[in-house]
Amino acid sequence: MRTFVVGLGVVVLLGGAAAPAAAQWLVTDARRIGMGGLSLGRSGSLERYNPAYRAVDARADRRGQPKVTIPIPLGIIQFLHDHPHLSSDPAFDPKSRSFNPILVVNTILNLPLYLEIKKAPTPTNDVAFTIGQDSLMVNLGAAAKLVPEDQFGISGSSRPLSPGFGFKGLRVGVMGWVHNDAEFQLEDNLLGFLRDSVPAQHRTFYGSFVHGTVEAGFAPTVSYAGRIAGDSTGGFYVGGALHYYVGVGYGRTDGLAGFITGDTIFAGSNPVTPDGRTLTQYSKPGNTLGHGIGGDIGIAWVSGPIEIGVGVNDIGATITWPDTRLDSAFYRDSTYSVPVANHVETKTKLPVSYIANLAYTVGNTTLGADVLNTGRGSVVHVGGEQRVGLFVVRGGVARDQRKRIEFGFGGGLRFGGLGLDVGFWTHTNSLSNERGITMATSLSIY
Amino acid sequence: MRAKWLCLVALTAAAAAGCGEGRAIFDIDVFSFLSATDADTLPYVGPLPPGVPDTIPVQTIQSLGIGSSSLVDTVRITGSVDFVNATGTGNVTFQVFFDTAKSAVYTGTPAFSVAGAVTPGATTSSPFDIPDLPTALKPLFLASTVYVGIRASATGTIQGTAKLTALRARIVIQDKFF
Repeated sequence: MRTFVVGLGVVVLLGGAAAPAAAQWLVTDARRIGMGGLSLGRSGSLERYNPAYRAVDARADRRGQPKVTIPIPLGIIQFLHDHPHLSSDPAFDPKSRSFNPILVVNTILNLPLYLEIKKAPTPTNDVAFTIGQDSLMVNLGAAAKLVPEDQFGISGSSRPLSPGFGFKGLRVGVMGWVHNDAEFQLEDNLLGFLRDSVPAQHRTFYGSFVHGTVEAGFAPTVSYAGRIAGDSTGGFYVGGALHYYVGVGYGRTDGLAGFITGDTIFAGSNPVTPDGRTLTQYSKPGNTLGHGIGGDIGIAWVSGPIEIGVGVNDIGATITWPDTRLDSAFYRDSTYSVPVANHVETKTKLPVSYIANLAYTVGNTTLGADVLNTGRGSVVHVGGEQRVGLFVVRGGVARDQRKRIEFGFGGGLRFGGLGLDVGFWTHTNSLSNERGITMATSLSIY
Repeated sequence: MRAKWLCLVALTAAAAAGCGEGRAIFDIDVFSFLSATDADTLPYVGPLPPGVPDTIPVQTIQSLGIGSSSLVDTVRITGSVDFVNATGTGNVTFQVFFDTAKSAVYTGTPAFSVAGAVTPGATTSSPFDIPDLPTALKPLFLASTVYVGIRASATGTIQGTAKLTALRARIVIQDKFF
């Protein structure tokens, strides 16, 4: 029972923390961290989401962009020092009395790549459960505010491989693509029970709306990126890509999961009954391939000290799956699944992602801003760096998908072709409403 | 079963909310379980005639089912019992038993006892507050089902009724049970 509870608890912990996790990113460049996550030049997200940037000069000498950035994982040293025997560490063993799910989840959410110099404190208040023959109430105290009121989840759209060849801006290749989306939202009864300490009611459903999608395939792609005006010091760049999406497989489920209380809470003839109902649709690998057409467009303008870009990905990317099976699953004490339809056509849609960026460079100062939306809300970064001789000072601020403000600051030292950078970054992707601070370090080769 | 599911949700939520360094406190209204089956009232007679029971049928409390690897810090019992005495003068001892085996409830030692002196036609209220049960009994409250029994024994030639008016158990879990 304990293992089951622990396992489910960790799953919910991860789910509950998914929103903040999705709002963060794993950046291995201390320079970028020091600027609040800002992407400059061809670094970070710009080339991924703006096809025009494939043609924009790297301009390494102008903004101090390194050729290679090597992270220095001080956090791993710290972690291994704190947990020298990880395989037998009771804090990570669900069967141990000392098992600490908060530590487990925080370790997952804050991968110990960098040094955690200020850990976000987790709530330490007591949690009270009031139980009677016909009553149940939970008081999470100050921690109740961490129960998510809105939809939360993790989603992503990635392009893991893109082999191809090109000539004079024209490129032909095959792009792999993966889209996943997991969403949860506590329904009102469960939300009130957990967040507002509303006593459990008779014959009432408590649960969560669930949605999950995963789909993957490849896409033969023809793309172009080039400068249509200006010269190598400045100009107007355009880029575009046309994808023919071929879907290898997909699965999607939507429904409700939870339980229904009986005539009494802790007694009576009707026990609490687990309850779930979902509609699942899938097209397995081996079925007829899905297909669809979509595209990316982007522009970039570089003029003197100013650089502006806008890119949009997966425009109109609707995948048609001609051979889909639909099952309705219903669970109440026993599971059964009813085929609704088979060999039917369904459609999925890849989220449209967009990025807009602005950079301004004058002398040894670079300032910039970008907005990135990958389908789950916008992330805004504003930052800059000031180079003074061998030294660089950086700062930035970001607004994540939860509309929380995070801060970055740092600096660097450059000796010829070698640079050492350090960046500090506040984060709230721990199970806490207070910020922690991470220190990132990296080595740059120019 | 229902307790397991309800507690599962509540405990999971507690973990999600970050009670990892706080304590989990369970306040169980034991009286509500007993009163629902009219097991909160127990006649007493002294001396006890042969064949007359001085106990209630064993009652079931759906408990937490947290697991044996957790550690119960304290189990505090509070409540009150009224001795509604009809005739005679003497003393009544009220004992409460807990166990996870139904057949063993009355074979062990009582979790606690409350005694009261009674007089003819008078009601004696005996509130009780047991700060902490004996260590050996604490693990019982980690089980998903706990059985409870009550015994009322009389000294002297008396007759009356012991009426439980409140019985709560406050269980503090010391360790991180998630």
